[in-house]
Amino acid sequence: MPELLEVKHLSVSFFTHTGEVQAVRDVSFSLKAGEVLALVGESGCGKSVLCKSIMKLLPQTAKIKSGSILVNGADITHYRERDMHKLRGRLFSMVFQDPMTSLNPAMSIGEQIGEAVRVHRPRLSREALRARVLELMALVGIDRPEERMGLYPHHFSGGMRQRAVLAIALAGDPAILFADEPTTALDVTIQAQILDLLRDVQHKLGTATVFVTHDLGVVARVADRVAVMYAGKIVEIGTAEEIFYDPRHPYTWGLLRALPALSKGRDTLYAIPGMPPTLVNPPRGDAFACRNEYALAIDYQEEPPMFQVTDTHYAATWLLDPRAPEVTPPSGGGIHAG
Amino acid sequence: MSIWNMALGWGKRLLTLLLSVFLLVTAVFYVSRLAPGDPLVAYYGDRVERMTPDERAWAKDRLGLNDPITVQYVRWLGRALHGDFGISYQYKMDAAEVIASRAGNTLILGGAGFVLTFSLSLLLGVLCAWHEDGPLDRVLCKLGTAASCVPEFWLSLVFILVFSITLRWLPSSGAYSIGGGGLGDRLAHLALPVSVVVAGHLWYYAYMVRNRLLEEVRADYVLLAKSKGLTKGRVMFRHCLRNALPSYLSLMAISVPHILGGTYIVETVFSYPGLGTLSYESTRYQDYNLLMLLCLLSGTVVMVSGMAAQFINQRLDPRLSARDAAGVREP
Amino acid sequence: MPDEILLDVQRLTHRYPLTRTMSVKALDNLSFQIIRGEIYGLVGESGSGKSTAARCVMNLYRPQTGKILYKGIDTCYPKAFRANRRMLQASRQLVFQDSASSLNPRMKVCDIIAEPMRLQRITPPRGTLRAEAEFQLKYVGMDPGYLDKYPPELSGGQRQRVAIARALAMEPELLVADEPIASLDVSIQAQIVNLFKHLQAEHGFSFLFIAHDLAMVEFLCDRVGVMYRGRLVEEAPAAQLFARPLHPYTQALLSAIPIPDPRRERARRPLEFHGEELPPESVWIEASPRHFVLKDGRDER
Repeated sequence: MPELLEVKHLSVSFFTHTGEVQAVRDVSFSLKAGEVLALVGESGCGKSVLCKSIMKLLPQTAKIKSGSILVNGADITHYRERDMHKLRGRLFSMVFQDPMTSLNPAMSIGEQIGEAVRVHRPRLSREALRARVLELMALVGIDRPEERMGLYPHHFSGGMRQRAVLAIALAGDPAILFADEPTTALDVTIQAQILDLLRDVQHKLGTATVFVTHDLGVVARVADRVAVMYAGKIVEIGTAEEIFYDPRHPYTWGLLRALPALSKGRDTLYAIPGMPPTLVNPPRGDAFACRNEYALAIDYQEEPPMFQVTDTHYAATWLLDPRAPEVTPPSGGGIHAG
Repeated sequence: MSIWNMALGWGKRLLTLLLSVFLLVTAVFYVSRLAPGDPLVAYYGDRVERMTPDERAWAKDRLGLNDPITVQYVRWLGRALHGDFGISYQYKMDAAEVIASRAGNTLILGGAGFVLTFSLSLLLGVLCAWHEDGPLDRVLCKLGTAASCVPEFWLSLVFILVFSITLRWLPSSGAYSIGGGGLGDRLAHLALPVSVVVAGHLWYYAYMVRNRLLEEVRADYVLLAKSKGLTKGRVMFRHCLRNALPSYLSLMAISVPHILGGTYIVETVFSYPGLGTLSYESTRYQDYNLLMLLCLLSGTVVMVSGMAAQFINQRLDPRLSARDAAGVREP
Repeated sequence: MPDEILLDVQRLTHRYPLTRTMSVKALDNLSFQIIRGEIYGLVGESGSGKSTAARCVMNLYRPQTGKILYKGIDTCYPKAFRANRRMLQASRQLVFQDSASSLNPRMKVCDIIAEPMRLQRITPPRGTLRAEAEFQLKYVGMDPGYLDKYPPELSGGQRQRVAIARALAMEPELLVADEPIASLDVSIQAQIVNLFKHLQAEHGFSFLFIAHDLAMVEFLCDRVGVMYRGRLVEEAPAAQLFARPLHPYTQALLSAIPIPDPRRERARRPLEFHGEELPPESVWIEASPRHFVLKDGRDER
């Protein structure tokens, strides 16, 4: 299958008064049509910046420093605003974290969905537009759409608003959907509904999805492939099975061990010690080294390259170097199938 | 919420308004009479100096100024309720008539100043927000801060000095030339006062528009609007400006008296025959009846514009509209 | 004294007015007890009334009906409250969800920690207020170097530690924490929960822990109450509740948590709970020892 989206050695920095914040550092990945890729990591690891930089939704202080973004083989790295707005909505669109603030509070739901439809089909008649809005609302599971078209966001609960946001994102039939922590602000029961909805819609429309989250449970539910990010880099990438059942990077081990379910019956929850480094001056060598109990001397000297584990599974840790000592992953550092 | 409830709400507000105007008028009545000065000067002019004490007493009695203040107040209130606001001592005419003859001039000056301030500030604000942190934005912000610090009377004097005395382009006082009175002449006389009014207020309001817009631009929903594929212009006008407008309109409504207050000072400096010069004179010469009516008018304008602001906000912002108050919320 | 009841919440009802004629019921006949030295978890989704309950317990809101007995004192009764004001203020402490907004950004960490002591005019056991603040700060695992910093200079986890240090400086008998970890990053959440567990074991205070993250509640709490629409629908020792949930809402809530295991998770379908309104004639029954559940009264008959 051809690559729909290809990101090669992308680096994005914010230039602020405290200095250059290297939010995304040399990230490469690709996405095939119809697949779901989850980006996982702690907050500040650059997962959300990565998505927004592909859609060019970052503030002016952010700059793409190097690398390229290819969509269907076309290089869009240096596209300017006037070219980008033609791609947004149709080629890719986005669902944001907080449904409470991501809708315009002063516009009715129907109007906001209609606007998204109309951007790409300006010649649509009123009736056809209305029919399309109702169709989209039904698609995302908003009951009684005729009645609710005229309501404003503040009449809706969080789950309903997120459905409306999804309807807006899907209005232009995008090939790629970026979902930036779409369920983090929601209650668990609502989260389950929205995840199911996303999965249904994804099956129905075949939309490729990049799903940003910090919750490994959510990852397990939705993802075909998983990329683990740390300090602006992808440290491990593979299929969901590979990441959950055969993780190779110590950071992935840490994330899995930190799941509260695995600390059942123990005295303390496992927590990865320390805090992520600031990205103003990222440390030399492996950024994770100082929190890594399996760190080797070389981790403090030189950044590890991506080592290939299988055709689909890569990890950036010196532990995979043939010269490295044999290390057994901690229990819980890989959930065993069955 | 039913129409009935809404009517009740507005009725209550109207009542509060009447009460506030009443309190204001009462306070001004007492305070103006406590101020030192001789109201007879307004009526009799220089003759007052030559009056005997008996003549003075007779004159005062004639104007009803010998009674205790409270008696005077009750009498004034009783007449005012019937629409009789007494005569102006200085003009020897019905106070209402004096004001009516001057109000037009002030409305033209204030109205032109208001409309220009409003439209120019909107334009400037949008331009600044569009080119946030660009050269235009920076210059305008700095210039605006400096310009807001300049007092109006000083600015008026500078304008007169530059445009009337040095350059001799525009007349420095009055509303029209003696004998003249064509449209061009009126406009020439208006040009300087209006420029001062606009220059005095424009920056503040432009800055408000800019900041309100930028607040909206930074809101999350703008990201969603952009990710739909809307152009920057559509996002700015259909979303940001539309959301910023209600609060800006209500600010402008509250500002009506503020801008009118500015015209008062400007009128005095330019000797423009409007309500500003009139209130200045009436205070100065203790022309009580005129003063009271002017006070009643300006008080009403302040309160009404406040109510208008509230009304605008409620009508234009769906979050504050009646439906919300009823607590309609979808599951 | 085993099983001494420290806090006894009895039939609490609280409504928020919407308009003059309408209101929203946030608490509906809520009753629960906290035993001295136990960690009681109150869980529920947004809008279930758990935060309102915490605020009523801390006298921040006044419930319309019902009683809150703390050490036998009816704290909602103004006279009783005034008579015991100092004791009540000192021995009950609250930690908020969002320490970014609940700590004064213009106060130094050391003043924040020492403020309650200064207000209560307690002689600091370690000499000066600063020494006391330093001790408390170390106690919650932070370097004394942070004493002269301001809250905005700290990370979310550090701010929450400062908030905990401030609460613990008063040596409270009851600590109420309203979603103390909800705004933190996952790995930091674990650190704070560990800290709570450790501190509670050491101090022995009673702890009302309010959260929506069921996994954390399961790990931390001794007993758990599940709230739905202002009512308690189930209450049991934590292990029992998570192993054998009885109320359909609890079951739905537990099954909604995704399992971090792709093959099992994809094959699973979460239960749904459709009982929009709880039937008014529900009865509170003890299904097994110490395991209570709200049953539809009509089923019982």
